[in-house]
Amino acid sequence: MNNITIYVSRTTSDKENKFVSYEINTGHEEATVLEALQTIQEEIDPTLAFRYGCRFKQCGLCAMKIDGRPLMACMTKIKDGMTIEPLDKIPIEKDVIVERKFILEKTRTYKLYRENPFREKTAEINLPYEILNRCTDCQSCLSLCSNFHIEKMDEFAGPLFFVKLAQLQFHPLNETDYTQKAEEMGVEKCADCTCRCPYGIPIKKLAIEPFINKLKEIKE
Amino acid sequence: MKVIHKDVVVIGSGISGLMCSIRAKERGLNVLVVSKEPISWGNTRISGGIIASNEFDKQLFIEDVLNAGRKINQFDLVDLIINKLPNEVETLEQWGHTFLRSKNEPDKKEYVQPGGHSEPRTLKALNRGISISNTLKQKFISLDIDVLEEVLAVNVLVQEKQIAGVLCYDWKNDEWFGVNAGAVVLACGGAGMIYYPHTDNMRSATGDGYALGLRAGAKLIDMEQIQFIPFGIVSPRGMRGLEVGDTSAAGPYGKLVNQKGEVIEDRPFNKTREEISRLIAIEIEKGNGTPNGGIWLDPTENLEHKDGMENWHHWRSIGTTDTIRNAYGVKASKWEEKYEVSPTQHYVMGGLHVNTFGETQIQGLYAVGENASGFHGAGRIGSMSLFEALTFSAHVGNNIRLRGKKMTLTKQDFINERDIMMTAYEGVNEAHPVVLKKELGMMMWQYCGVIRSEEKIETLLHGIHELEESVKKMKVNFHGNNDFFLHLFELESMLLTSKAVAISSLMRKESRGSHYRSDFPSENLWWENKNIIVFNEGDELKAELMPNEQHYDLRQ
Ligand SMILES: Cc1cc2nc3c(=O)[nH]c(=O)nc-3n(C[C@H](O)[C@H](O)[C@H](O)COP(=O)(O)OP(=O)(O)OC[C@H]3O[C@@H](n4cnc5c(N)ncnc54)[C@H](O)[C@@H]3O)c2cc1C
Ligand code: SF4
Ligand code: SF4
Ligand code: FES
Repeated sequence: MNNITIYVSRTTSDKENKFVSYEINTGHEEATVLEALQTIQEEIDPTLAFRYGCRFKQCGLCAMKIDGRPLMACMTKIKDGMTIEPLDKIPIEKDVIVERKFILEKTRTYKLYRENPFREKTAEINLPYEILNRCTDCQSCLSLCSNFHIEKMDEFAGPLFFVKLAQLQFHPLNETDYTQKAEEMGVEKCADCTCRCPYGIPIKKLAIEPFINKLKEIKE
Repeated sequence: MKVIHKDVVVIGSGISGLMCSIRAKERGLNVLVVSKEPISWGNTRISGGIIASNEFDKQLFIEDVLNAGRKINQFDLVDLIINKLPNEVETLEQWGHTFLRSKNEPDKKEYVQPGGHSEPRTLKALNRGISISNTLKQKFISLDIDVLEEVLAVNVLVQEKQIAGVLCYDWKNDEWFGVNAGAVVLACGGAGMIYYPHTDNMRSATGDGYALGLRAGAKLIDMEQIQFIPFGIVSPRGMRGLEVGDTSAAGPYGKLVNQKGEVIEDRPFNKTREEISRLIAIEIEKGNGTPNGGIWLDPTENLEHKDGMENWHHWRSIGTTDTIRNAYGVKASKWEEKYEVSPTQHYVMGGLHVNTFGETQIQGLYAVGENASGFHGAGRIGSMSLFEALTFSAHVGNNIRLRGKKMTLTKQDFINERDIMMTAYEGVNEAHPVVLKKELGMMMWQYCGVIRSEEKIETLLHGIHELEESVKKMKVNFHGNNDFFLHLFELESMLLTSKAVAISSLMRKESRGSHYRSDFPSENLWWENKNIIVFNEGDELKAELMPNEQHYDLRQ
């Protein structure tokens, strides 16, 4: 038996979020946070809302704040006393679900896409691109960034979007320089901090510094 | 209620929905994509991303497809997709996707040969399906195609057997949309959730497209053909059902061992997905499984051989060993120790019965991707789903025709349709749809999983009927964040899809491809040129035999 108590942030009828405690039996040692939430949903309160898709870290939909840190629920072991909350800085939809629609909208307004097909057909894959390409859009980095404010995205886009831009920049066949766009997206406003990513993407090193350095060069 | 007017509405944003909408938009059509998940999420995104290419020996390719499909494939579709349609795999790279390069010649793409293919014609993606999804999403965004994102398509509306529009519901904001359309494309993907947790599919794979199509009056074909991939994770519970490869993932020297230590299959490597899934399921049913309900896959001997090690590197390059590590630890992921596996639902070969333009029986209603059926027949080999979905959906988008007669649904028409939905649920809730979904999943797995029989299916149909009765009694409050309705709608899609699988499985009194009947354990020639069709008549779901009279002349 593995009886534990966990605390999950639930949206109340007056649209506030408050912790509710749940006593559950996880059945085994290896249970994940996602499993614990499923157990609550199936056995205690089916109205609990959380987002997930693949159960194996591929889809990026299950990021939430677990014991104060943004993590993927399907890859994090559940422990007695854990607190589970929605990600910070992004409007809450319900319980531990936060909004996502703004990502597509902003990708559109920033025009984060290649406008022409590639001329060349083949090229060697470079490591920075391979790593950047792993981003699942999980939003964890946004929730941790001190500069990111959803209502001020016109001034500062936020790490997820810098990663999207760097994907274009470092694509093995790319011939366009996206540094100007990085400037428009506010990359220079980055504070003296580092972004964190549950997938281990070194965001600052691969998606922010290269643009900042290039801008410095241009401006000097 | 907001009323929208569009030429084409595509429901779903996986590989098939995105590609089809891109092609239709490039032709200048006014396109809307409705997706219940964020744009570009779906099974495509979590797939292994391996994709076949039709640039090599086409005759050989066709033989492989017919062999896996046990000849109940629709030959005109096979002929079209392999012989006639352009190689869209190339297009993906032009738009930014990257296929893995060969080690020796790093500027050349590397082709591999998954089980069931007679030559290397399959490409591996850099970073699996996510890169394919993102590439298509980028192209999609650049074309400024309209979207209803995280909105559910709840009803496809038909007038005089022609498409009229789609009723959509934003469950988060309790908002309805009426969309007038000259053509509607179903691209809602598969239905793995009907076997939950014994599936590797996304949570959203609830068979909505099959249900929307049936209700609109279209026909399904081959619904008894559900693919179970032999190697799924057994434990921990949260990872149950996740796929860790098909037969070739045992490596050339891997073997299968039961709980008594007996070798039940010496070399699963070259066998089909169907054979090995069946073998494992039978062994487990005999009582020789592990306490967790699996069988041991012992890959250790591979480490002693060069080709064994090469095979391990292949599985590592497409991320499969990561899943093994998460479930069973580092040693198992390096093939240094045996681990437990059990078959798991992977793909629905059945689906909407379409012609070579993707048209269903309703004028203006199309289906693509996993929603469409006929190409794969009774079995699908690895890397063929993404290939077929990409190639065919591009072709459908290129040729889509708007319905003939001008018809426009008025706001009042949409309001009436909405009211029918809203007043359907005014009872009292005895159970939540989330709980009933799980019950259905367990029943489907037990009674209509890998091993089926008349007795089992009768039990299942009875169980489905009881669940349907519970659904009829439900009550929905339409206000605020209404994820209750999302789950209920999905449950209803799952029930209808399950019933279609059940009645088709009951009718096919033989074993063929992925469909195995313990009371009719062999393949029977009489059934070779027959497909099973499912359709709605009144409020009844019916199955019927359809002779498949096309023949493919392999010598042409
Ligand atoms: C784990 C896994 C690995 C796989 N690996 C491979 C592989 O390596 N190679 C290969 O060829 N195949 C593979 N497959 C199979 C392949 O991924 C799928 O068959 C294919 O992606 C299906 O594409 P699709 O466009 O038809 O559907 P999906 O990609 O599943 O997309 C369905 C879309 O429909 C939307 N939708 C559903 N219902 C509604 C509704 N009611 N209203 C609005 N929108 C709706 C969803 O939001 C989603 O966007 C794999 C499958 C899985 C699960
Ligand atoms: S480095 Fe920039 S993007 Fe990253 S957390 Fe700091 S301010 Fe945010
Ligand atoms: S960069 Fe990392 S944290 Fe940010 S969205 Fe991508 S995967 Fe998530
Ligand atoms: S459920 Fe897909 S990443 Fe966790």
